Amino acid sequence: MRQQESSVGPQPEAAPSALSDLVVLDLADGKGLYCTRLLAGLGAEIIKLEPPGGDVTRSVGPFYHDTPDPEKSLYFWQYNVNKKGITLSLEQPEGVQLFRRLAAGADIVVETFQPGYLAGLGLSFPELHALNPRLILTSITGFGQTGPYSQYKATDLIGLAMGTQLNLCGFQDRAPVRTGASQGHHQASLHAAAATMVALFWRDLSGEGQHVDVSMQEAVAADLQWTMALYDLTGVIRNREGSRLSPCLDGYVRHNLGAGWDDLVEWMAGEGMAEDLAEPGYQEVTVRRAQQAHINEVLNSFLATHTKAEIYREAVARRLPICPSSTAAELAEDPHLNARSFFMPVEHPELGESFLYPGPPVRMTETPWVMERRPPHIGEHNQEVYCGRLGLAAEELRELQRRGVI
Amino acid sequence: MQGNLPLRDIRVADFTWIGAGPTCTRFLAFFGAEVIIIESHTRGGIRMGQPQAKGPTGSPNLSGFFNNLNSCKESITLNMRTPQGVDVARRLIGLSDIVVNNFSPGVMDRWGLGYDELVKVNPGVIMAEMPVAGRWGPHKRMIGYGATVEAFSGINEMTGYPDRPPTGTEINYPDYASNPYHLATALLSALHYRNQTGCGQYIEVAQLESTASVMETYVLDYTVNKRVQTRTGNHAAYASPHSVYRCQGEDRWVAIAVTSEEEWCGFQRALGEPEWTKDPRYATLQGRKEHEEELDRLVEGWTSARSPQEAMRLLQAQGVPAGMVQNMEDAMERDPHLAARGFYARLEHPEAGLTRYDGLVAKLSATPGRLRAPAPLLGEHNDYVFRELLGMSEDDVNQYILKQVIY
Repeated sequence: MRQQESSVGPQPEAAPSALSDLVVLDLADGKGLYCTRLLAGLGAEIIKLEPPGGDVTRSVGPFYHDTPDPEKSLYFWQYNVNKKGITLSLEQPEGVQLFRRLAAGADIVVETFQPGYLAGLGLSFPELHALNPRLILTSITGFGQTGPYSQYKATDLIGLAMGTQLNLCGFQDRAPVRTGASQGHHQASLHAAAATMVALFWRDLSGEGQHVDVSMQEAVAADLQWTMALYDLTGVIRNREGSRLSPCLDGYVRHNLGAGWDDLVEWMAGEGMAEDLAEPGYQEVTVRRAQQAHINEVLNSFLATHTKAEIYREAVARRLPICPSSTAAELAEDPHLNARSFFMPVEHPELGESFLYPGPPVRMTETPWVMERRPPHIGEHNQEVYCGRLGLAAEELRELQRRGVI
Repeated sequence: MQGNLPLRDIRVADFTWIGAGPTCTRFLAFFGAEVIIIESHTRGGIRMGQPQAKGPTGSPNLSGFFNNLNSCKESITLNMRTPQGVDVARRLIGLSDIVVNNFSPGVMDRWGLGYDELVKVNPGVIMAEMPVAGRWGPHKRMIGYGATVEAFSGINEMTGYPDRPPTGTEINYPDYASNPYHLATALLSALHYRNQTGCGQYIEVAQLESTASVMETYVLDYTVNKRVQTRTGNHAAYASPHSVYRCQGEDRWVAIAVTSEEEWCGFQRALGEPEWTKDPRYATLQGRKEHEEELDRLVEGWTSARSPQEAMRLLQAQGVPAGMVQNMEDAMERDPHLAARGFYARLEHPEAGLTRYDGLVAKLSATPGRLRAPAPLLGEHNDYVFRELLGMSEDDVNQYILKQVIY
């Protein structure tokens, strides 16, 4: 099929991008880095603004070969691949002036400062709007621009706590535990990216930019399945439920009974381990529901005799909803994701190496995912942006650098 | 008012159900897209899901789960097991900008509604599918749910305590976060591209891939350093104290994250600078990490004498990131901040009565969108869609009802 072919492997050089007409100024920290990362993958030109000396996220590990170095933070790499980088001090009036000039020619600004910080610099949304009526300002914060907690500070952990996802995760005999890999940050960024695209669509129609206000707390609170409705309709408060994963020979797998009962029983019976589950009574969903504990016990004993790889292979072949709990190695070496070229090589010429980054979260036939440029070094694109885009003379740039503005 | 609903000219033929698809199309509906969900009495299941509001016995309109995810949409009943049903669907797609489904790969193709066919009817159409593993590749036949996708992508491996089995959220997390919002972003970027070029396209969100994309450095630390990261409870390499601490009351907790030396000073002030906070071993992040277990006990000594609200308030007053671990009742009944921002909305539903709905996360200053209607009753918009939109005669509609095409 056409769409299959066109989304496999490297794309032709000439493939267009969905957002290739956009320039985005990126002032985001962890809460918003994935938002701009997504826009970069969709083809927007992202100019990341860092304070002179580099962004604080460059100090977040892990590091390449475990060598702490602002150019070698894998955290920075993950979120800034495909972006350009410049330095600019917003603490100095000249820096603010330069920012205004950049904003005048930009389409989107994504920022994560405490509410009021930009306004204090004369860069409030109304001021930016007066400067560039088409500009979209997306603000991603812990608690949003308004309300009694708007000045509260938040990290990923705090967002998960206040958005109630933390309460849904962990063991009864211990403290609730966060969902791993910064899911609070990712939820804030995902909601912000989608909302920024709504603002973009409106701008296509009207020519008008606007201010997009995203609260991490609300992003988390909106993503909770039926937890809200359950409380609203029944008063039942969901709580953490321990681990629902099943141990196997070399780790854990997750099953979700409900589909493929006959195929599951056939597999188990084939190895003489179905016990009584092949009996016709179990054909009734109501019986299975009533016997859930027994079924889980039989199934778990069966799974415990196999490896993750065996279970995964059989589950795919038999169309059963069972997945391995993948380690990073298993995920990165997964045959299916690799056949789909999900992991995309990015060259780091200075290190003489190329590394596999997780690739397209979405596949679009006409406007394929972009993954071309390694993350920027500190100030790497200063000359291109300040001299090329803003038309500063080389001496001016040097002078601004000398004074610590750039 | 016009700007209130920026997507008002966009029509979505929505074949999705359960979690991920409806969450995505709800986002579009909030901002004014006309989302028509194609349902059928033959399709069963999800509308009967828990929790149920009080109302007419056996009604398909009472599921709080369904209703919350389908506010602001329109519902028709169309039996896709009949050729006439498929034909009507094709005509509806001809009038739509976006077609979304989360069937197994191949279902739409078997109906003759694959992208290659649809583009003949509607050249600008944007079609999106969200198969678990994608529609091609060695495991394309894989089936799964949010929970199994969560496991596959590594979230479980990264969630929980090092001395306990991996755990997870039990909310099919990917269905409400990574899958729907990646897709919404992609669909809207495709609309932007169509605004420039007139071209539609086909979009695939393979759930494994969209979720494996939000794993922070899980993959890169392996592909670069060959390190296999694992769960660390509530601890973080870059911050300390960084955990969840017991408070006064039954099962009450506060999360605290001290991420800089400035915040460590604020932390000491919030506690009234007790002697132990001056212990030189705690003066640096490295020192605090090295003595973290002991430090956590001391912190908990302070928090356990306070309510989570008080601990949060005292710490935040000194600029320290802190937040109580809220449960759903806290968030909906007691959180003054969510209340002030009007996050949860109450909507009157003809059968379920006055019930609550998730509000809009993003506040857009010029085009805020609106929770303008509760979930539709099953088939509530049959008349509008079949008669007004598709221009079917009353006779044809009645015939189709008799033949269970409209069913």
